[in-house]
Amino acid sequence: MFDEMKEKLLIVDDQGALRKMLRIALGYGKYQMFEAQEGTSALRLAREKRPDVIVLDVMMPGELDGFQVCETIKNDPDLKHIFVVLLTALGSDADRKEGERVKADYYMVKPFSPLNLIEVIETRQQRASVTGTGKA
Amino acid sequence: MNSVAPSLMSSVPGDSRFSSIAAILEICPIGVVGVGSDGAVVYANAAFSTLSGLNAADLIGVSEDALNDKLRANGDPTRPFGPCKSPPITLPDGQAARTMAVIPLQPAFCAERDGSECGCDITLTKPARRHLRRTARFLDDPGSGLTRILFFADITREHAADELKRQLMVTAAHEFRTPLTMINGFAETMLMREHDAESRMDMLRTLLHHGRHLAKAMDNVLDLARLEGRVYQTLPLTKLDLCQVLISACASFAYPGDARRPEFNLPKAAVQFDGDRTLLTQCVHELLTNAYRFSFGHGRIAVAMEAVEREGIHWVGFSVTDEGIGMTEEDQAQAFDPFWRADKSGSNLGCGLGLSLVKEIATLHRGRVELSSGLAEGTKVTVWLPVPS
Repeated sequence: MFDEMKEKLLIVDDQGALRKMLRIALGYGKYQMFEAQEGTSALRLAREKRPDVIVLDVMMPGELDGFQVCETIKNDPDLKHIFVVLLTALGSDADRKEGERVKADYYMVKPFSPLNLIEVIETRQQRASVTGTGKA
Repeated sequence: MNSVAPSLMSSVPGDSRFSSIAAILEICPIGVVGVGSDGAVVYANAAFSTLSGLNAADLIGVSEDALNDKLRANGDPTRPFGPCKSPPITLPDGQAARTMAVIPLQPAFCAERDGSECGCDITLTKPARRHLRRTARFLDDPGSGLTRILFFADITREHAADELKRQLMVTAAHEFRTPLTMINGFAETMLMREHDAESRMDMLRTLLHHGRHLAKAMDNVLDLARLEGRVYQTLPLTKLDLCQVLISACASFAYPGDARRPEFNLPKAAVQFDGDRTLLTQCVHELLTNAYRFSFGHGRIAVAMEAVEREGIHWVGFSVTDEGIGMTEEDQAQAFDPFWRADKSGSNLGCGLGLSLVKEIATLHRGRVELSSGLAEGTKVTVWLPVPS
């Protein structure tokens, strides 16, 4: 499949090892992949490349954390259609509620199963509610 | 003692026991407030004044509600404290339910006449940030004119310890989840489809790297937990020479792949100190690890000792200095937080507890840690210990 026909996937995480894992797990030829290490460049890439899916870590150093990036994307009429999956080690109710508030499409708690993530992305399965949030 | 209820003193004229009791109350470290049958304060001891910042003499005749208002005025507005008696809770089906203190009071000390418990925690910001536990007891002693006694115990230390433990657990959970994500994630990725041999080897190496990281993180968390648990115990001390401890610690330290040895600048005479040799050695090792790790094979590593006198106390400081990448001001402010790491990319094997351990060990010896650093200018960490003159 030519690159231009593939869907675009943006991976945002400050940890190189996690980006690598996602790159390998999600790199089975279906997606054109982009990466960012923190919030500001993630937003820039989102506007430039217009990805279909963004996998976004919540805890990142710098000016914007994952919640803020998600909120900005979902409040932008040009970007709000993007399917956003939040990845986090924080699984408390307060954090899930925040995920819901910023209108994330899916909220996944680490350690997560890459297979589960693939399934969520493939089916665009929606779940950002407090009660039914996906957990590997 | 002029705020003591006259009845306490005069019940049995000439009986010296009562003046002893009054004297004991005045040196008691727990705040004691006596409330009379009309619901007004008749007595407040010195400890209550100190803890609350309220003058005992000003409280005589004040109602208990007014006393609570005065305490609230010094309180933390984000932590409101309710009435002394826990209010009844109404369940959704309209039934009333009793509340129960999480740490139940001893049944022998009945707090309220109807058997319900009565106590709450108060957070004050003035005259200092303190957490007080207030408990109330009935005093069935008509002759004294007192009906209720309020006790205010200072639990600031315990509160801080609990808070630290909670924070450590939350951060530890997060720290363990991260390498676990890698381990499980890579294993699953390898299983989900065919990969070429080189990719497989690469993923297995990464998997192992994170497994080791997890093992080290758990060791460090246990170390830290063990150290914090010792706060309430005594530290077994032996007489040692700090210079000799430093030299030994450096001799037994090696950083993989780095042949540099530390340079010493130590006094010729022995520096006597009562301490825990194992902990102090571990402390030096943590400092050396950071110095080597963040200087990447370049520059000198210097181990030195200084002495100062401040406010009549003699302090000896041993320090490790490197000429490595240094730290920003923001980094320096967070450096002692458990699990904080300068290199967040995950490639560094450290798990961010080195300086926390150094700080704990210094604190256990009644000392402090000082850090000075500049970006690209290296870092110096000094552990200051109080020594007998």
